[in-house]
Amino acid sequence: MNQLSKQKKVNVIIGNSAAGVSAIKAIRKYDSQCSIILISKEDCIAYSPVLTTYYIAQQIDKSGMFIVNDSFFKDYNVTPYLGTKAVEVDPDAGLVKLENGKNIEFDNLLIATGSSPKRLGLEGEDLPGIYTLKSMSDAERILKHSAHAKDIVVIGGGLISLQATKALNRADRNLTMLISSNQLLSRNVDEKCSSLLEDTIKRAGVSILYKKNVKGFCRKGNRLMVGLDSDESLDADMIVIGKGVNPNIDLVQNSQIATNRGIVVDESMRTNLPNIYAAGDVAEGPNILSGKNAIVANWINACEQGITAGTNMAGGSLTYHNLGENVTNIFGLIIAVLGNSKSADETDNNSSNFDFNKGIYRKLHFNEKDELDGAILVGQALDAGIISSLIRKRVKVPTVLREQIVCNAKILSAWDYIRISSYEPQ
Amino acid sequence: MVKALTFDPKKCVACKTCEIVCSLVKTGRCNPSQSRMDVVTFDEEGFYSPTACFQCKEAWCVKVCPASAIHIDEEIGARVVDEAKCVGCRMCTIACPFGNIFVSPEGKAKKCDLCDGDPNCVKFCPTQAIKYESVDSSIGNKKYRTFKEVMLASQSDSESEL
Repeated sequence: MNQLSKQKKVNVIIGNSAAGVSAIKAIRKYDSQCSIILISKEDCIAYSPVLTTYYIAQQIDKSGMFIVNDSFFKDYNVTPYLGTKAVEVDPDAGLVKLENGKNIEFDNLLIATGSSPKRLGLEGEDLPGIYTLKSMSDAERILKHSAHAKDIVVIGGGLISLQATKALNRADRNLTMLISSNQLLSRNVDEKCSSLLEDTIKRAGVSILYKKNVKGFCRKGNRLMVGLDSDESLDADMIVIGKGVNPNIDLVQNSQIATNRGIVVDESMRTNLPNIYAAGDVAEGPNILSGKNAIVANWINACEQGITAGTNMAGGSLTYHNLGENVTNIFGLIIAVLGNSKSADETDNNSSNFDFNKGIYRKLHFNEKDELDGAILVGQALDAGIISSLIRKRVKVPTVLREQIVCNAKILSAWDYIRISSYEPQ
Repeated sequence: MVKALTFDPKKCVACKTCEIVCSLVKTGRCNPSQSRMDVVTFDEEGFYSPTACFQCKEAWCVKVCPASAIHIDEEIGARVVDEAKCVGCRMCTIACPFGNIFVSPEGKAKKCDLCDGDPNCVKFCPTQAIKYESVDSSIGNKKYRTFKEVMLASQSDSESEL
């Protein structure tokens, strides 16, 4: 390698979604000279998995899922290797090995390989007509198959399952949700929130069956059958499984790069090796509330972590702590979950207001030091962004104001943000 | 030099004309709940102020939009929602720490777009509490700083009067 090309840093990014694209933009903000190589197993420009359910609902067409223009790689001077899987990282040699035998050298590496839907490990799971939903091709298959599906079973009560249910529900279809626990969104919300959600979903004509564990699947003529633990069974034309995601860490599992559930990173998105970074669904980064590392597999986290990694790869200095915030709209019911949202115990340090008939539930959660550390906002979430940033600052909220906030008497504004955060000087 | 909306709480009397004008111009109806301008009232302190999108330099809404539906109009200095791309997922509403973006009943993100460089709220504000004026290039940061200073100053003002 000659001297000139040695001076130009080579930044390699594996993964072409929120984290990868955000990192590219961040790198180019600070460094127009370095070379950027993007490796993606998918053979297309970046698209948003968040939008797949909108595509299935035919609210947008296929082109609406892409998040960059056709000219993105040219505009940002990126060398893409699309439709090529990276199979191994050799940190000592500074090499990424590709499926096709090619080796890519790097000075800095960002692993943003994302996550894959969890598999149930059950008999018949691979039968045609049974889908998981993450990628664009998943969405295309589901949309195509659903055209002739009358009875659809959705397995799981998490965000993806709820959004898939919403996208697939039509007056001429029967949708059934099979949930293993006794409530919806069991990992994120409490029973009150779940009850509002259940009411909304049932009114949309969807059946929900709780405490049902799937035993296996089989084909019965041109229909599918879901076998349950209770020895009951359900017939369906199509099945969607949404039981969460696993980080795609296969690539690094035999390397020195430290992993737990995901790839362990610090607040700069660096792994245990200084020139190797990870971001997005694959990264296990520090949480602002617990201080411990956690995987937050959502879009906002992927963007922020990608920006952080990209900035640091370009020689900058940026840190990010994840919070765990998400928002969704299920059949018109808006649910925002922010920080520590799960705690349900009435004796816990909560302020809440629950109005089932109006479809409103607002709960603020406080830690043992009386600092705001979580919220669930259902039905009225206009101030979710403000509450989210107040949680990040872990402010102390006066009791009077707590009541006003949860009782909906005061929807917080930017001025409230300043006022509340100035109670505790930063 | 980019122009930006600036708000003067000392002049605002909370008449909410700006909210009505904004909703009328943007939706064809006088419906303050659909206004991109929000008048904040703290009656106990006698503190009133209009507020709208600060058009942040590093805009949270732009960074996180999963549909890349919010772009920066460099000429006007506005962050503008492309409604054809917006799917109404509300990610922007939990990302904006100032609550300056919302989703309308039709499912589209709404925020102040500076009315193509001729903001109607400014024209109709009877006390000139809203101005559209030149600010330096670090527009987002500067406005946020001013905003915080005004708020803190107004708090200490009212305390000294007591």
